[in-house]
Amino acid sequence: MFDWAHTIPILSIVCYLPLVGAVAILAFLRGSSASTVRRFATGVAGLDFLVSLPLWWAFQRDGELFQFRESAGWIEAIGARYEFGVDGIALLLVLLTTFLGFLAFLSSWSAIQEREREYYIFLLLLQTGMLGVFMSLDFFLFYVFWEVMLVPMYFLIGIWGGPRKLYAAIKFFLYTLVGSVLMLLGILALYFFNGDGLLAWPGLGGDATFSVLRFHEIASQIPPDLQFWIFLAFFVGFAIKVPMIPFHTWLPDAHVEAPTAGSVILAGVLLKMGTYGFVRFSLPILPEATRELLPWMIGLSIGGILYGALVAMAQKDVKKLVAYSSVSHLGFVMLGIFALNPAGLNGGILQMINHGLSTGALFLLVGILYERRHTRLISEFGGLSKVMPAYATVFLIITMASIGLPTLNGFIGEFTILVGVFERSWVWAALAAFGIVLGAAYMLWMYQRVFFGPVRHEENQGLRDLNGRELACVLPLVVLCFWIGLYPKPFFEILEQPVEYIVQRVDPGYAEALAAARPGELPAVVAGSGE
Amino acid sequence: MPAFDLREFLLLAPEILLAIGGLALLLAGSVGRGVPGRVAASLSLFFLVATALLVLTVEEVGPEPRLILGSSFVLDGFARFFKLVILAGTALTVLISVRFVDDGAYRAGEYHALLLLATTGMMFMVGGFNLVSIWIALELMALSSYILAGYFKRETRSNEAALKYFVLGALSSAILLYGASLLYGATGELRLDLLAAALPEAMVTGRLLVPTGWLMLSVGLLFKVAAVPFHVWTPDVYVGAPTPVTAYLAAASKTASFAILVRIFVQGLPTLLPDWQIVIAAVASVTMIWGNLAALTQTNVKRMLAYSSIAHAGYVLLGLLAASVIGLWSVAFYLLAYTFITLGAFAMVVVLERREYAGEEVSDYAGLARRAPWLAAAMLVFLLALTGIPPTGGFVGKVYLFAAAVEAGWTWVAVIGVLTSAISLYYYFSIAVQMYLKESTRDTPEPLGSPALTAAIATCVVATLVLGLFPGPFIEFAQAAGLPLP
Amino acid sequence: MLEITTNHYLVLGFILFAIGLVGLVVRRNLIVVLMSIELMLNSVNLNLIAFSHQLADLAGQVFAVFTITVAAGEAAVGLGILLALYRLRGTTEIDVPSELRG
Repeated sequence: MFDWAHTIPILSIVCYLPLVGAVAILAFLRGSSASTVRRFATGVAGLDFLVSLPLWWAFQRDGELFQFRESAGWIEAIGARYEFGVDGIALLLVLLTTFLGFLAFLSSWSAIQEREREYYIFLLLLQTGMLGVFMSLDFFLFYVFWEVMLVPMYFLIGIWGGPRKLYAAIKFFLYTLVGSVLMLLGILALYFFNGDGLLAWPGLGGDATFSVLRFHEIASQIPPDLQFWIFLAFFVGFAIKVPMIPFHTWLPDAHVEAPTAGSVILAGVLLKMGTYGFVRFSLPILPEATRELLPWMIGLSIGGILYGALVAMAQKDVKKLVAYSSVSHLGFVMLGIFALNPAGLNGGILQMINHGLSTGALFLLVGILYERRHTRLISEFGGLSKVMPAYATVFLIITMASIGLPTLNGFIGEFTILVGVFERSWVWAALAAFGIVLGAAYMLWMYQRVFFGPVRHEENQGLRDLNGRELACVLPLVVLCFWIGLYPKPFFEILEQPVEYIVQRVDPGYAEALAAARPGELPAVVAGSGE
Repeated sequence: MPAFDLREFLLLAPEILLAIGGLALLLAGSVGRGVPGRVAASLSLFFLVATALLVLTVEEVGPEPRLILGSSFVLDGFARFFKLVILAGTALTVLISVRFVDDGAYRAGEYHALLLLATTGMMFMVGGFNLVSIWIALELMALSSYILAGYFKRETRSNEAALKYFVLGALSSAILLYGASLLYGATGELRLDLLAAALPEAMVTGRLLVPTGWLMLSVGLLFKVAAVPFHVWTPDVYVGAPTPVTAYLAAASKTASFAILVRIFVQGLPTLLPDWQIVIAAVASVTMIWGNLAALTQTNVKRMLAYSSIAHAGYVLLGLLAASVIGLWSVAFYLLAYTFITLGAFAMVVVLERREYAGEEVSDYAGLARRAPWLAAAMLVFLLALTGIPPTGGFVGKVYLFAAAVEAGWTWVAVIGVLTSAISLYYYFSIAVQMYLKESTRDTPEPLGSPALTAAIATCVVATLVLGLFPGPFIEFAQAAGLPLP
Repeated sequence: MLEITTNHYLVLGFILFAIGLVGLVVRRNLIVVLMSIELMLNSVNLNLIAFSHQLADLAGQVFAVFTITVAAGEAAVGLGILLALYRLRGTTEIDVPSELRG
């Protein structure tokens, strides 16, 4: 019933609808009141989500890898084209973006009280930028969206952020910009290698193109040393975004200073752009370099998991705690991805979604608390479960989701990742599992200090529980957490084909063995690939 | 003697028309009470547009370059492209100047006359094919620019700017000329192509003459494009000169100087390619590094833009360094984009500037987003473009330059380029911070626009965005500006 | 009797150029600076004419004639700026190095 989605340029519509909304606010709602702008912008975001929803049903699980393709000439002179298309991975992230985006708009109603017109314009522009990143199948186009998105985020942090907003905003911008310009050099190297070649590497003589699919095709022909350099260039760009240690220092600053909606989008979607970059570009285009540098990647991932968890434990500020927990969770995602097998990749990608949902929800909840008390220090709270029972319940569910309790989404993601990692090496899996324990520890400890015990502070006595709008923000996330936790099959189904595609490219030996092995049996290479 | 066909003068019709326009304005300006500012501006706009139309119609360029007037000048895609870019830059400068010149209480006729004459010099320059014609054209540009820089002759800063510009400009001219004379002595040729042909032999016989000659020639040219370490005149001149003149120097003058630098190096000194590539690589690196680092600490917007223009000279040198097809396109495209970007940025300085050089501090932009959202948005576009962030022409241009460097194997210079351009974000965005993140105070100057200024800014914004979003046709346009490579 | 060769002219040209360069950098009086510039341009003329003679090629002399013309223009502009400076400050002394904050 959703076949019509294939006949219209639905991706472009989803991508540019927020942009159109922003222009409309700029052009038509000049003298309107703040509440009109607010309603209009939220309406646009909601509409965008609705328009993107049919993708889920219209996407053919067994059809072509990339669907809803749009293709048009753009800068003919250099071979850059306008190419849109999504596979299962991108589809999930697009839906996550429109969904979380809508919630972020809703959550801003009471949180943002000044310069609202500009705020919603920037938020809408940010949506377009992020959606474009996930949809682009042309590297040049991808890069344009990748950088364009930085500008509205910079202003969101810089204008509506906390006390150290200027510092946090420019730090965020500079870090990501440094990473992305180096990535640009990597893209250019690929471009020239596909063409006439560069430096010591004779090229393939292909037509000038930035097509990602073309780069996937030529992956096996890229010499290992060139792969190594390009991988490094990409790594800097993506790792800063993820963020992997040691490039993570911008994240706590940005998170703590950003307004709630900014944090939600930052944690929910922006960070996924980095992991998405690894999955879409580094792995399939540079398989040899990936395998060669695997120990480093794994080491950094596990380091991130443990470091993030330990630092989170020491935080006094709830928001900062959640921020460091992101470092830890994203370490998990990276670990799953670099397990380079179906289970690991499936888990890693699903965990991207899970992290978006649960951390997004956590930031929303922390934001709600902050609006009431204007502090986020754990020591300022205590016994809130008596004052705000509904809030405490939702917070508990999300906490459980975050630490990976069965029946909730985090469990599915982390478990699948561990299965994948275990195939590679039990040592890594053990270390990662230890990270989960740490994660449970700091989250539960925080929960205990905030919600249990006597109400120690007078101000907390009269705190309002969730109102309708706030509940409407959080409940969908809770529902989704349960859905993924109880019935993840649809998600794995949609991921099956793209994950297989990536494994085939990044580790052909594994893929062959997988095909040869009888069902239910581990492939032979696994036993020998303990490193 | 080569055949000398008087009809070939017709092919110089655009330059001649522009020179006539300049002289006419000069005459009209000196009769009685002179020409009112707006009339002078309209007249010079008229001449510029007419000249551009003539360039488009008369100079129909074939695939082969055509040498005219005893090979003094050449008509090729390269010259045509840069003539049009320079004319566009000058026209925008005229628009920016209207209110400024009115305020200054100096004669407007002379100002516009000098502008047109300097532009005539630039047009001859980019079409020059002989060291003599190139030098004379360069001097026409330079002499007019010295006077323009000191146009506010009763203001000390403007005067000092002119003085500094004159002394260092004359120094660089003399060095350039000395180098040219040595190359002439070594080869006996002044025509670029014959010079190139005679060089290999001269390098054997003329031992010292050739290296000294081309090095001094390069120093003179690098002075003109304000590359480190020959940049010392730039900040002071840019700050002291009347802002529209600064814009003109940063855009048109720089474009013309780069064009001639590229032409001399590529067509005149191809034999020395490996040698000059090393020099250019070194100069480009220190220019990018120093230009950006020095800009970091500036609080005066004009001075910041001066250092930024030094830094951008470094980026453009990347294209020359590559000495490849893509390299030359990228130089052409970047200078096209940069003309609009930098003129737009300086136009914004004009908007906020007051008598006595007030309104030039970064802090004067405080809260501009509230008081004048469209102007602030325009400035943001220029800042993004200068940093090289999409969707602007600055981004496409920089990608092109870096691509050229990577392709030619100068990856380490490209790495310096991308890292310094990331750093440049910091100082460019200090203006954005003021506009969007700070509140204005009572002392903050109100933006003061005029229709001409608005038109100029709007043109620059649209051009910057179109060059970033749909650069296709313009890249093809720039591709026509390629030179035959060694 | 010493025979005068092109090299002698070149050396003389170089010395004049160097004197001009040093004068331009060191002296603070704008009139001396102007003279230094003239000196440098004229050293180039010497070069050009010497080469022209050696190569039996007229182009060098043509170049020299043009240089003389342009030098006149340059002197005129320089004097104009000098006059404006004198009116403002009442002196022709300049302090180039200290003003160059670079």
